[in-house]
Amino acid sequence: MDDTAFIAALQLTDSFFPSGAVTLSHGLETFLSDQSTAIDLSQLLHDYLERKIAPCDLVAYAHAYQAAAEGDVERLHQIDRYLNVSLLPQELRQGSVRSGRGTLETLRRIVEEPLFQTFLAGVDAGKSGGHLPICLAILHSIWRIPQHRGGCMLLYAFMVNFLSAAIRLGHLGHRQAQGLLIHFRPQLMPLVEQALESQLEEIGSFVPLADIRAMQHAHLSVRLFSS
Amino acid sequence: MTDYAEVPRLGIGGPVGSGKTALIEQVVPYLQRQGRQVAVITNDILTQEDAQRLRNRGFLSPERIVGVETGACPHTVIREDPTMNLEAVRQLEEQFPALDLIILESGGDNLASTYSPELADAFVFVIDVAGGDDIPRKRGLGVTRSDLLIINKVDLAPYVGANIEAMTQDAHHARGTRPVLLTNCKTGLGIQDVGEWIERELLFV
Repeated sequence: MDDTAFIAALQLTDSFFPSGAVTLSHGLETFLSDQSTAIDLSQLLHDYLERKIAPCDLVAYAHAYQAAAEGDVERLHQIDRYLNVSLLPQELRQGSVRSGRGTLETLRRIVEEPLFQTFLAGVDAGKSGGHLPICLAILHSIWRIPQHRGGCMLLYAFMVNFLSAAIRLGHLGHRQAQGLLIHFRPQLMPLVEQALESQLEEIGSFVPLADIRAMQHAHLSVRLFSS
Repeated sequence: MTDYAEVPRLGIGGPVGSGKTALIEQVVPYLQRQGRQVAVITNDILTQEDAQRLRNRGFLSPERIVGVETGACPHTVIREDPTMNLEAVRQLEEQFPALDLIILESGGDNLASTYSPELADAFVFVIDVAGGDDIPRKRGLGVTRSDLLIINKVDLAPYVGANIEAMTQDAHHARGTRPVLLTNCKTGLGIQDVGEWIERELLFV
């Protein structure tokens, strides 16, 4: 990865980048609102990464990156729609689209590359929703961030978002969060490599309790987060 | 590019309990009486709380009131990362092409909160006499940078020992030529002035 691509990677992964992720808890708010159940946050994060983000979002990302590298916009929309039907809880689906759409809107008047603008026009026209992994794949490809590094960025950004939500929900200290980020470091690349080898048809997640919690979130009477 | 026109957007910020929702309850009916079509986006901890309160008032149809969660960061979603609010704006613009104004209500926040200029065309900061008459002297960004400063609950001044004249004077001193208005959002005192300011500054009447 050249230096310019590295700086682009920093910009996209930094929580300073406005993607709306600050409002998402991925169902964590529901988990933590049920005080009758003890939550092992490290185990929960592990399950999310291994059984949800990697086999679902990351597989869609990998195929979208390939499609972006080939300049195949129709394929990007197809993968986007595929991811859409793979995310069962409504709020997770909406959160993924809003983040992706927000990323596109942030860069609408800044990024002029034809691939980005053509995909954006397609989203405007309703061809697909604009899920975050697809939008990031396009940007990573345009800005020459290697696919495996981009996949790692996607997992890392999820971890930061998840742990940050846990801190704001009062369930985790800032030092514990940094400890978990270090703990999970060696686990990321194997997940990325596995996702890069998966077929699009294999996309899917299996975290039934997390999905149920994410569905229940819509009915919480007190909500800080949109998912 | 999208083909809808951008609707003017007014941000309303201020500390917890200063009267932001009460202001909306008064000023939206005023604007409607002038023939204006308005929609409201609320940001609050209890995301449905303010939205529900406004819906219960009945002056706006439920689909014109949207709640956006803040992830425990009310200032972040109106300043550093207004993505989800902008998404709500985009959806309202698509759904109601004839809108004249979108009001964005922040969750109660500190005196330093401001709106991103890319989210709101102008923003109003609401403080109240019961919050302490020294607030204008603290010169938080909400007080110094807002396009309009409202001092609400003026009727309570005698009961909380607040000096409204000094408060107003301090506010003018902190804000230079930027306007300051006094209101009582329970009775409607001062609401016409606020409504006229909105029409003049945002709707160019």
